[in-house]
Amino acid sequence: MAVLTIKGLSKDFAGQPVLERIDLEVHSGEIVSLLGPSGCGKSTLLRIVAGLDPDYEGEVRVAEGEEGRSVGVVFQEPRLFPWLTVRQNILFGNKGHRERVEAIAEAVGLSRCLHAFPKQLSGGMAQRCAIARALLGRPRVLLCDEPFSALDAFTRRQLHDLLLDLRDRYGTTMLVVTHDIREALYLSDRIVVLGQTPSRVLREVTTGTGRSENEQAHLEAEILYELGFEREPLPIHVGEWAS
Amino acid sequence: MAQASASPAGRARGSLLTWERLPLGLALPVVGLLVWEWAARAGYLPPWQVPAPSDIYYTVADLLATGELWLHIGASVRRVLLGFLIGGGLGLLVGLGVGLSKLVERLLNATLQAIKSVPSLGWVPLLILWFGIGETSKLTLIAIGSFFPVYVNAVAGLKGVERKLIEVGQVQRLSKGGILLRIMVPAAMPSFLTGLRVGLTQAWLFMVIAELMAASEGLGFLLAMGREVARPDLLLGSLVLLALLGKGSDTLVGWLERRALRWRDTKET
Repeated sequence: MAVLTIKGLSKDFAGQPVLERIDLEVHSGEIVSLLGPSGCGKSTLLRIVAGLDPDYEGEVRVAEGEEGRSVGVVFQEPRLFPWLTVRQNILFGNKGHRERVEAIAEAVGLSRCLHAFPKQLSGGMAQRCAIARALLGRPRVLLCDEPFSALDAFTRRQLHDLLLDLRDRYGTTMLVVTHDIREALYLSDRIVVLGQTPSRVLREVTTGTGRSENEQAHLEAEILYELGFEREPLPIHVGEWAS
Repeated sequence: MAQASASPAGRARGSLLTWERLPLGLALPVVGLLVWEWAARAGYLPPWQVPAPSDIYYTVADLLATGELWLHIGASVRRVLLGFLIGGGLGLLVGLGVGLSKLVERLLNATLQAIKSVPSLGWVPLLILWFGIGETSKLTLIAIGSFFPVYVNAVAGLKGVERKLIEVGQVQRLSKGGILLRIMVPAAMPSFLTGLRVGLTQAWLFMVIAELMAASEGLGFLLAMGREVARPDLLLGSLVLLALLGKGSDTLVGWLERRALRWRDTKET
């Protein structure tokens, strides 16, 4: 079932087209990455879906959440309120869900810091808190705008696994904007590649688990080629490395 | 933390802290007073201009003993508080309006900027003409003095709220009022408090000016009288009292400010 449907979405900034007739469907329980070079409009697309930018052409439909909330957003920075504790931050805009705070805090690994203020958190912890805030209202889609690009590689990997855990636990559908091919390959079931502005969907790649390292590497090379960054990848000959 | 302070290293650090906490700020006034006292008694200073600190002390003590001083302090403090309450309250209110509403900003800001450019003392003759030399003109002057710092800081604080934080309110489906009360106001709180602190300092300043013009009680009145009857001990005593009261009220507000803003990630906290 499609949870998010985008049809013929176009957007321009002061006459400069940024997005051109984008079509996209995200299904229930799926993790989809929007991959593209910086400035290609992928964050703009996410902001439109989040309802932060009402000025566009085309159709964007998000299925109604069971509890009214349809989207949750995790931004590039945690955007926590410094004057609220972790618990109060998680509850921000989620007043009706007090009883769930402990569970979500446990799920994101923040049980022991519920009374801390944001200034006492590391970057990774702060982003965990932001994820908990976005998820507490059980949105139909979790929108993530380059959520880990400001973190170090180890923390980033931990948070990738956290997102995958959360999907397993809550069945959350996610749309993740990223410019990191490896991140997209690791996290998502499907990668939507956007080209340079005005961007269109260049390609959709279904990833899924069970791919070998070689296939991953080949996919990475293909995507880079698609974006015009590298030479044409050599075709894979299965069995060549077997011996 | 508790463990650390039990260790020898912790104790060493503790004693260092007490050393650092010595009221070093008092050193200069104390040494100054001693030198001054000595110079006055040795006859190096003309007593009709610079009396000895002990003389000033006795003058103040006498006034205290008769209860007269409390009358003056009470009158001044009452004026400062009342004027500050009116001026600061209005400043906060108008600041909220201008900071939050484009319409109110376009309506009021230019006028207020123009009024702000008038040096505040320029109001004195007009206020006296309008309200006479009574309480009203004094309070109005103090209110004008404390209005602008509060107003300017409130507007700057609200304008400076990060759009990124407001967006969180939008995606979490807060109403306009919710964004205002739960994001904008707390985010602007440091500026509000800075404004109130500066406003209170201004209120003390304008109180003295108002009382110097014409008053029958208050510390400013003591100053005026001290000059008329050539009593430098009275003048200096009043100045010391003003310094103590001003410093006291500022310390109090500063303490409140630190308590209210404990969440801030600054060097001080």
